[in-house]
Amino acid sequence: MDVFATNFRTVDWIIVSIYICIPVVIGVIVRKYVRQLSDFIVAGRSLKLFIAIATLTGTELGLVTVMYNSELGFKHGFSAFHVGIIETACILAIGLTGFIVYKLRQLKVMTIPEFYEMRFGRNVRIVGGIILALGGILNMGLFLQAGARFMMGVTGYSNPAGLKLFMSAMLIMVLVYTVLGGMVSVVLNDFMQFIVLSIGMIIGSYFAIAKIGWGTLFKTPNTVDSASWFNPVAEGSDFGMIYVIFMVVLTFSAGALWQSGTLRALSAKTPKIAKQLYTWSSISYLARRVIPMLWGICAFIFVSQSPKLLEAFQGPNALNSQFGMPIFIAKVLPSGFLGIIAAGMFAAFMSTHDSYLLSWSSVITQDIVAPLKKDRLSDKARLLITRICIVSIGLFLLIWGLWFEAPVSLWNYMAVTGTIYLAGAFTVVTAGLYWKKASKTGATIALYAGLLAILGIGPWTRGDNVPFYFTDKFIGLMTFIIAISGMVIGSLLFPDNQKQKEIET
Amino acid sequence: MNWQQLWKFVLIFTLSAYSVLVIIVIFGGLKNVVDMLKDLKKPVDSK
Repeated sequence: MDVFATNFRTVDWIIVSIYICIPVVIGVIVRKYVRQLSDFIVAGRSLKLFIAIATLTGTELGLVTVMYNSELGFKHGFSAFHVGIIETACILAIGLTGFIVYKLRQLKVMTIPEFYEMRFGRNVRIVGGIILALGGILNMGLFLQAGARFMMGVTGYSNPAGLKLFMSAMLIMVLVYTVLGGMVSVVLNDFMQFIVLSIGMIIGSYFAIAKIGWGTLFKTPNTVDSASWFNPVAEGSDFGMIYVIFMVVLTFSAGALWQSGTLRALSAKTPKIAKQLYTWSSISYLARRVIPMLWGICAFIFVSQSPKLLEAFQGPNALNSQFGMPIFIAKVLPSGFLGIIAAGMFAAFMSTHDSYLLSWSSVITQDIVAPLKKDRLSDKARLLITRICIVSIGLFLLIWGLWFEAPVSLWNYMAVTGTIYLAGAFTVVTAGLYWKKASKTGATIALYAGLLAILGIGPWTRGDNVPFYFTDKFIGLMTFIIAISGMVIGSLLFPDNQKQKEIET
Repeated sequence: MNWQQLWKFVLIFTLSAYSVLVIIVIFGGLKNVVDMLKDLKKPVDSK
């Protein structure tokens, strides 16, 4: 069987071509609704529950999400499901308790660093803004690359120039539509994308399971270890207990404070809706993990049944494991439906990109440039800077995606780069909201501690016999521990001056 | 319950619960979209 053989035909290209024009048209049409920055960034804080659920799912269920989760399923089997269970439990806990998000929505902040300034002063906001932008932009550094790999796998385009070609074309489309519309168009596109992708994923799962067979699905493929295929903490598993603990800390902090997701909570009409949004969305969070992982598992079983396919994914010149799922669905889904799935995934790609671009560029504008200019920037100037940032970040994504490869897996890369921001942010916001003694010095130490996570994407994390203290999971977990310790020790040793505190409040 | 059974349950639960959520959100979301666009237009009309 040819590795890149596909059911993707002319009709599928037509479906994708028509579909990808729709978001751009929406971007142009809704432009008239964008008059001020809050319209652009938080959709005028007008989101009601169901549209908020759709748009949060639309953002958090991007093509890259499908790619990294399917890669986890492809490499680790059912044991990868534990990440989904942990994340769902964390999101549900946030929704039921309102932890962090309720209070933040009450405070009417547009970005997390805005809160830093409210509680710890302008300098902490600028430091926090820089680290957030750095971590966030690095985190989305491989989005384009993963998206292009998906399109190559599905369309069967195996030419080496394909990556550059797909990445460039996809980037241009995203930039045009994000710069034009801002959050209002993002919301509408998210909603459309939610419908197409959700239905597509449910039907696609049926095809995948039907191809493999329900009985075969739960049998361990001959080429892998049976225990670690199902048990994440089994001896010999690439996950292990440190990874599981890292996932608990990471997904809880990301659930509460990941800028693109939190932006949805901050866009909610009321603090109560922000809370409900998380409770309901816990199901979406479960689906965004489990369904792509299922596809990845089916893909691996499918590949392991064909010696030629298996050979393509093994050895020194092996295909990147991210290709597993797209190559599988290209052979299993019927033409026509494959076009709809590809179009839905492409829309998901647009939706995640626009939202992330908007998040990080608004952080640069609101939390770095504006405070440095002592807030003497007009709304018009802020909009312009935000749009320039969007284009600049887009160009960075193109360059970074062309030369950098995730050392362990795409999800691990995302987890560790996310930690750069989250370790500090989670500590600073939690302490700022719930601990009276939290001080500026403690906050600054915690934020800078997040930078340690950069070590987790170094080449030393790659390979089979990496000492545990050099693994990305250990570095990630330690970064959180150091940030929390830094906050506590810094605040106790260097409390804020009472007079200064009174002036600021 | 062993790991296989646990993941089997998780998979069935996810596919069913998500299908129900999608139906609810599609119908509820359509109404919300109309309301949102109306809300965003309001300030200009009043000025």
